[in-house]
Amino acid sequence: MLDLVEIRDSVINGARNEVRDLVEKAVGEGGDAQKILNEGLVAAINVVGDKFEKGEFFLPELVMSAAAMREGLKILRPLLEQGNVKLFKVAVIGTVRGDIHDIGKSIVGIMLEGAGFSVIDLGVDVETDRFIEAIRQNNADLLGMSALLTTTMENMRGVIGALKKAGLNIKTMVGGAPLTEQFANEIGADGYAPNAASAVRKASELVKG
Amino acid sequence: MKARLTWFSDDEMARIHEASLKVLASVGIRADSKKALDILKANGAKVNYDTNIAFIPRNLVEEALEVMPKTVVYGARNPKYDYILDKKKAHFTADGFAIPYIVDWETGERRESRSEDLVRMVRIADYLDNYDEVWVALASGDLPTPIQGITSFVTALRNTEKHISHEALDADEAKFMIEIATTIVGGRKELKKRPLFSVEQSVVSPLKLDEGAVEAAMEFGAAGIPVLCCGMPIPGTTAPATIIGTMLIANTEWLAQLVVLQLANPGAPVIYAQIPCGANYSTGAVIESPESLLFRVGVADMAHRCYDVPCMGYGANTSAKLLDIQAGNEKGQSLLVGALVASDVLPGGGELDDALCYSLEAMVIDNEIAGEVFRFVENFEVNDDTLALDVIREVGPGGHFLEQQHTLENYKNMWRATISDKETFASWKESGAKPLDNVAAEKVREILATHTPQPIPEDIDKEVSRIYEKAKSELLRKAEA
Ligand code: B12
Repeated sequence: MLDLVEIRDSVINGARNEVRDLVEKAVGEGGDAQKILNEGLVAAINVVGDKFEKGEFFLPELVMSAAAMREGLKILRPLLEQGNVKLFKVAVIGTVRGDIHDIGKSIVGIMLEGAGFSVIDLGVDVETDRFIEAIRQNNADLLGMSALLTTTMENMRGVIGALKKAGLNIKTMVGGAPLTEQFANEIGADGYAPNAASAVRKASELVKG
Repeated sequence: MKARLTWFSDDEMARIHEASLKVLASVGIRADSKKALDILKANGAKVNYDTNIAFIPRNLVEEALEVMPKTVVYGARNPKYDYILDKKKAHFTADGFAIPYIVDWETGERRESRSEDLVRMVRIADYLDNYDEVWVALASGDLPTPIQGITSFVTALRNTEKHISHEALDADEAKFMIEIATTIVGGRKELKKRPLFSVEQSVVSPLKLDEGAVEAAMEFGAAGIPVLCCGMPIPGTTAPATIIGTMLIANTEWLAQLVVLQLANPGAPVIYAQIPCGANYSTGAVIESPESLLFRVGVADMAHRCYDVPCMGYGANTSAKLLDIQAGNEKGQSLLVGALVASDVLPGGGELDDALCYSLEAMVIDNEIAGEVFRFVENFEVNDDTLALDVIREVGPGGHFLEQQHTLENYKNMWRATISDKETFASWKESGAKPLDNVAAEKVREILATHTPQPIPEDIDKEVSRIYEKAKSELLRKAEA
């Protein structure tokens, strides 16, 4: 019998090797990949999210669970993504040109991954062209840009303008300590979030419809 | 003796140092600067140009520690404000670089900071006694971004006679700043002797030197401008989740930057300015916490007692968003610790919201707290006069000391409040029952209405303007390219 409870608990505990072994075993024994995903991994991540909201879990638990989920996904993805069907939404993220702050952006990336996005992290000091290239190459659904300097925030406006010019219809989300919702609206971003947890909520909302 | 606070034992410091040497030699430091890598390689470090990682051997560290200066001069536009960072005394200053928001001192609303706020901020720091120097704390959100840095530099120089502290994002900006300061002091040699400004150049934790920051730092080193080598490792995100592991990362990064700067310009003035920080583990944000206080003691220990070099640790910093009890608590604790470890550079004045917001009233309140903590760490000699045995004999049991000449001579040394309320309830009520932030706001208004620092002499200022105009057009052109 498929032991989804054990898989779920291992993800919640952030035990990535255990998750890998258990998922491998489940698949080997003929378990349904979709079921393992939904009732094992995704169910676990929902529990982790709840615990975070309640203040029982913190970033380190979240990140460990996300990493454990990633291990499971590695095995399930090839089984689920047959042909050209894209199973997961793709998010391209990066810190804009001139800015080397990367902690916040990386945390958002890890959390998005945990929530089931495929994340392409372009790193820091990312030029407009590189965002556009990565979005095209990966047929991305979401662009997440980070800036921590008031002098580099403006570069986000440039990227959003360039996306329009390039005819790319992609949802954009921005963040970073000095940013405000108002600034995000002003530059025409589709979403803003003040921290990683709300960034995940926002991202899911944006790519839904 | 002075009240003084230390933490590590000699053995513990030696272990941290040895561990740093191990990290430098075996894990290495990443430097995204060819210039820095080339210098390291030419002097015997092993360099991998694919990963940009340099493995720094022990002898390079030891040589750098040998040639670095053990004290640092802070020159000022007005030489009466010159002083030496000698590891014995904390020097208070305003905080932050380009803080994006300010609590408007008239409306109380949080809004974007603009160039006129910077002028006010610098003038207030120029006026207040406990600010020994002036950090260029505020962003000028109203100006085009490529010229914000150089403009705030010139604005600061024009509005204070004290030493200023700033930053440069790359070597080009650094060159213009040096040229302007050279004009004011009258030559490169003079600037080296009395550097009018210092710079904070950051390290990216863990263990990475950014190209712009390190190349600008090398430029400043060549001109004799003191460099505050500053990384901000955070336990659990950019450093191991232990206090000591984070200290190790901080220490290693400092040594790495030191080696590069000393190889590039032996004897260049440097300050141990690593600021390991506490974190909010729900968001990852950097915060004020008991851990960040403890780090300040660790940094001062490593700098002063292990390496014999001046240091910086955060001072009047707070996570509070307004001037409430939390702000007072965090600022007070932190400044006291900074004074007790004789943090040569003790910033934070005026800061709120973990360096995201600023307040002119906070500058005035922080000036008061700084006065209190500096009194706390004064030197108290035990001698006949201070023991005052003779006076005690004269007064005898049950008398009073009010009529003594000794009292008249000595009471003036006691601390006196400048804005805190120390009155009776009745007189406090009579004078309007004002909370401290209102009193501080009145002081802000008074300073702005009455205090004008000496301007830069006209002929020199003309030359400053010329270089500034040239810098602006070149920096704008570069940004467009
Ligand atoms: C740590 C830090 C550094 C480290 C960065 C290390 C690293 N690996 O990233 C170092 C020391 C290298 C550094 C360098 C500099 N820094 Co700095 N830094 C900070 C500090 C203290 C914390 C930033 C941080 O990492 N926070 C932790 C993370 C987890 O929080 P976060 O980034 O806000 O991210 C959260 C949210 O914002 C959101 N989020 C973030 N990104 C995104 C993206 C999306 C899409 C979404 C939806 C959400 C989202 O979710 C995240 C997780 O909860 C801030 C002050 C502050 N309180 O924020 C200054 C600060 C940002 N730095 C500042 C400055 C000035 C600099 C320097 C120029 C200083 C110098 N002298 O060189 C250089 C920059 C060089 C450059 N070209 O970029 C200023 C900026 C001022 C301004 N007007 O812009 C600040 C505000 C401090 C100050 N006033 O002095 N810095």
